[in-house]
Amino acid sequence: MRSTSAPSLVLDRVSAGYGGAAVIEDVSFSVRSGEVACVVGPNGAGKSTLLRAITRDAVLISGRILLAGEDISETAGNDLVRRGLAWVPQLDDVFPILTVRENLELGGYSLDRRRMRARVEEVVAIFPLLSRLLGRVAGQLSGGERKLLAIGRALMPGPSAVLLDEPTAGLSPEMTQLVLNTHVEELRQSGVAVLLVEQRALEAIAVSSEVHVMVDGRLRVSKQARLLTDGEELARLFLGE
Amino acid sequence: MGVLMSAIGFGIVTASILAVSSVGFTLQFSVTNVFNLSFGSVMTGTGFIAYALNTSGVSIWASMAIGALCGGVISVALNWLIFGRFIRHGISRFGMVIVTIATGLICDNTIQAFVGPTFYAYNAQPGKAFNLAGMLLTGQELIIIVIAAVMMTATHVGLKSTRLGAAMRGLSVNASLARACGVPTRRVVAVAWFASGVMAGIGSVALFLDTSTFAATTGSQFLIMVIAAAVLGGVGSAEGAVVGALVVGLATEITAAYWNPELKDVVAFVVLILVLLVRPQGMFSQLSSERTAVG
Amino acid sequence: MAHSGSGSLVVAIFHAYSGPNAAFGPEAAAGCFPAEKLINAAGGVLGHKIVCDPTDSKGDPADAVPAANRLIASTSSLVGVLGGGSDTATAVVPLFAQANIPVFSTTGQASFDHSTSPYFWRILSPDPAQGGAMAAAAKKLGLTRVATVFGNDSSAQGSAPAAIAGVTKLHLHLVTNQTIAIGQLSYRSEVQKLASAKPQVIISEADPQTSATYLSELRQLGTIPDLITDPVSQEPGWRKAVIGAIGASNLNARDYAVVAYAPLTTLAYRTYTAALKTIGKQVSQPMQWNSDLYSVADYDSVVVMALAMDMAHSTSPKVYNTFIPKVTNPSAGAVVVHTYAAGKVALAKGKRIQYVGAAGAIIFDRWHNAGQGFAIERYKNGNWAVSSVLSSAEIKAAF
Repeated sequence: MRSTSAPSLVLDRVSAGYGGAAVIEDVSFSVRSGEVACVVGPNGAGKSTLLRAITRDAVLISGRILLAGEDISETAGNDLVRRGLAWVPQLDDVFPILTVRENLELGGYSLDRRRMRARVEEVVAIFPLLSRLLGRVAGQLSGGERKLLAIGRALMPGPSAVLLDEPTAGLSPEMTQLVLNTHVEELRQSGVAVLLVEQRALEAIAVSSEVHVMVDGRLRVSKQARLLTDGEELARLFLGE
Repeated sequence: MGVLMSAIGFGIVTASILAVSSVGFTLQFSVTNVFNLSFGSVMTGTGFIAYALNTSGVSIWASMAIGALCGGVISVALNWLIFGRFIRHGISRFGMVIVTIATGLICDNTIQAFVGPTFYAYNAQPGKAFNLAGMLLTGQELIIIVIAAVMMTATHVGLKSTRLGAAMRGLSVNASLARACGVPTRRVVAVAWFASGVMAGIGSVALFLDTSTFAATTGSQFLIMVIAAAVLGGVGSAEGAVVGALVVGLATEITAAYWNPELKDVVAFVVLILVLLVRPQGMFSQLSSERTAVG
Repeated sequence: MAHSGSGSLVVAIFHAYSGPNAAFGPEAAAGCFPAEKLINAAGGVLGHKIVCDPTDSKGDPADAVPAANRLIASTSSLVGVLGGGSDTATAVVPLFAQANIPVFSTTGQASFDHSTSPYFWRILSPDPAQGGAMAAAAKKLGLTRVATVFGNDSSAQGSAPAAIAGVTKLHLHLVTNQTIAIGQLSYRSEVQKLASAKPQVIISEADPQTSATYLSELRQLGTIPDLITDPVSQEPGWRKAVIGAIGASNLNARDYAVVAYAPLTTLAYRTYTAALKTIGKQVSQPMQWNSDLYSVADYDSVVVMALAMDMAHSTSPKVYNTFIPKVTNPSAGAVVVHTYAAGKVALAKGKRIQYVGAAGAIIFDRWHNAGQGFAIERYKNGNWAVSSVLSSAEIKAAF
């Protein structure tokens, strides 16, 4: 565990929305390298908007976002990859007509050619399951394999932080366990800061070190995950009690 | 047998001419999702640029190459000046098709204003016909077949084995994910327009050599065949466009050789409709129909 | 619309003045106004003046039908119509016939070859005559192995059946007969079939680009045989396209254009052109039409109407209509006249007349079709020149 390392991704009093009123307000937390933080909350709490604010798909109204100590609040969406931010969308998370290897290579588009090839081997070493899938076409993978590829693809450029938008959506319980317990853990162990947004709160908390509970566009509670393993307490927080 | 072999030879010539243009059309469509009906006008424009060079003493093949590069520039300029702006304003796909039709009409009529409603021909000798395994082909036709084969191989290798090619294919199926990967989408889109313009240029000179005369609307006149080959193969698929062009070329020549030449188009389009009945997405396409345009 | 003063007789020029066939109107006007001028100068018809009245048919049946109905309803002094080109004749000829108004049409449609309408008259040859004349030209040129290549458009198909039938009628050898889809990317398979049939001559009509592509691909396989073409091949656009494809010397050495022919040297023709020069007010640049056979035929049509009225002693269309062939067709003891003035004088003396007009003799058959001669023209020293004239017997043999 590297929980003592410096914060990699920092949200400082972030408010964001879509042109009009703010959907999320005054959100502040940080994620350290080698650490998983999860954002949980009821539907419509603003979890997705939070991710979109970081990836520039929503409008940042006020506040700052820091990545590895640098302010990326003004960075254009296209350039975030080069600044060290990667993300895995909930849907359409791979290129279905490309092979697994081509997906990984495209993930490393910002690297030079030789580095890209080497990086594929490194990512495969981090996610050993990928090695036997390399020649397959992504559109033919199972749901779990596909998500694994999406995570591996996000890790390709060597980011300092990776955002995962509901990675278990649509997966079976077994696949959910595999993705969260194995692959997210593998991702964490690679040393990046992982910000996980999940609908399946208890499962997410189980693999996280920090939990941020969002309700109505604001952070209600932020605490260490090991202090919040009680389903009843979580339910109360969700319901705003 | 002799008739069949020569019909096949002629079909390959027709396919070679169509394939270059069809691949150009389909490549740009797959990357940008703009169904560009002004493509025929780019063909005509580059055909006339090559004509200007050719009549001032440049060889036809050098004129073709320079015309093709100009075609690339024209194509990029059209996207930059017109299409890209509409896409960024969020125009509907149907609206975009209308914009390309309007652009094509503007281009055709502008060209016509300059060249007049008359016919032009390149200064090029087709040469005597060679007999290759029963296929009668002129030197010019053989060169066109070779150029088409080289272009198709280069396109295939480029798409399958280069980073840029992977980026194009990735962009064609998921533009936002390509952006998330750090693919410089604007630049890749510009490259796609450029490549499509180059192929329009090569395709048009080959076509105009083949019809032996051309006018301000000849490119647009044959656009329907170019699109037919692309649609038959599956819009967005370069291999599909090549196979589609072969099917169209062979169907028309074999119809003319064995049956009624009046029914060339009829047979070609009946084949098109039958293929689409069985495979609505065309023979090779992997693209979803719900993509949005990329500028 | 020009209004007829009391007592004047209106001849409508019912043709397109707008749309794609907008040249048809001025072309017919270039025939009507010289006739109007000469007839009125000779004292008019039975004391009435002739007035040419341009009406725009727009070249489209949808516009032409209401325009024709308006014309009939509003013009009580309407005595005849020049009009209904190939674009509108089918739609409007029955309307004028219903109103008992003689129509002199310039349509080329074969459907009027056996027209039973008593009010329909056609001086120019229909398209099938063109086809037959092309076959007759092959015979005259001594070319016995004939191939026919016609586009599948309506214009080429007007003359194709008669050309093909004519080749057989004339005991020539039809080595191959092709109807080709126009505007194709290539005709290689068609061309190879043609070349292997080894024709001495190709009888052909197709648009410029189709002809150019076809002939260029034919040249790649070897040599091009002689060509018998129709007036389309005399249009500058056709020549430019085909010269670009096979070269001027190849084309000029082989092309025999078969075109409708009137010997434009007669007294009737000179009278017409002298009057044509003076009608610049009604027709802009009138002399551009001076050798246009349609204009010449329209001129003759108006003269024929006027002479028929004189002979009938009536300006009633229904009455004079039956006298039309009596002033044109040959008959025993008839005086041949070449102008309205001469015809009027002869008729006043109680003589029978035969009007031989600017377009030549006009001999109506039982279906009111006249049809004139054809000539073979060749391109030499920058001009088209008649190389030989096809006699009516030579053309008739093709039918």
